Amino acid sequence: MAFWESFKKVLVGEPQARAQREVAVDKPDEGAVWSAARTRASGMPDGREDIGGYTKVVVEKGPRGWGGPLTIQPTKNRNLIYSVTGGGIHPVAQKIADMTGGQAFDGFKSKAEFDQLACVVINCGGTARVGVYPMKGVLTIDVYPTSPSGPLAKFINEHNFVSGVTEECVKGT
Amino acid sequence: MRKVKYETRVMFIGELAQEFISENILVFFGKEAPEELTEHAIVHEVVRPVEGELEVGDTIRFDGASFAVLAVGDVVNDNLRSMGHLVVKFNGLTEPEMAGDVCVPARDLPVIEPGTVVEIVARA
Repeated sequence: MAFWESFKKVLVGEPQARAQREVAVDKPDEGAVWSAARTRASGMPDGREDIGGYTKVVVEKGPRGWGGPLTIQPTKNRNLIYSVTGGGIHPVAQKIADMTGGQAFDGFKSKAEFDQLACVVINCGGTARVGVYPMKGVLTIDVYPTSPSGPLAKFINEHNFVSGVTEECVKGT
Repeated sequence: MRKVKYETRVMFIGELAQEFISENILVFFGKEAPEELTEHAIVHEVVRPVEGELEVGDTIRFDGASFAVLAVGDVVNDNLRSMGHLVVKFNGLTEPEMAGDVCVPARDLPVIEPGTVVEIVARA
């Protein structure tokens, strides 16, 4: 096993090299998107992402929840509503996708790059996922009412995390 | 003979799992979990799917090492069934701090390596 792992590293590089990951969702050519965004950016301050036809929503904490509110604004390059809940797309992820126009995406079925994620919906009981996604810089929505905890708690704050979220907590602006 | 409710085999240990292990926590995820979770986890392949529910009084066995289950959070069984996710805390608590916690006695952690068999054994 150890030999195979090191052999694999030699062949394909470190597992963290996410560029190696297969991307199941079509990712438009970066250059083309960049120039298209530039062309359309005449009325936009520099540095703003092209929001295409996506609508933003606000996600508030639910009963006994913590953090937020978070504004979820999918953009042309960052349009996936990532559900890491097991058992398919969680209804909260589906509602965010429906309201914003983003694409609901099951993390147990396919792979995506972090820079394609508008947000992640988790059903974490408090230790692992609550910290992993804030650490990776992804806006994190926990459907359970957790508060920052676990070894990765230092990465969680009110601007990247909201919990106790039900479908009623997802609101238009 | 006590009934084995669940049996699974460790495939590999994620490179960052040590962050949890050093706080006396074992985080398990099934092999279908996305890479950002498996890199923090002990990744396993189910041998015998869970029958019934993990409950207080059951035993978790890691190869030869047995630990009595002292507390089971509200979402533990859902997590285990839907994504092979289990969080075992070696903290001796009889009330779970988090909804995902399985609490066992605060003893030295068992040795976990690829091939380790993890079983949940029903109370006698």
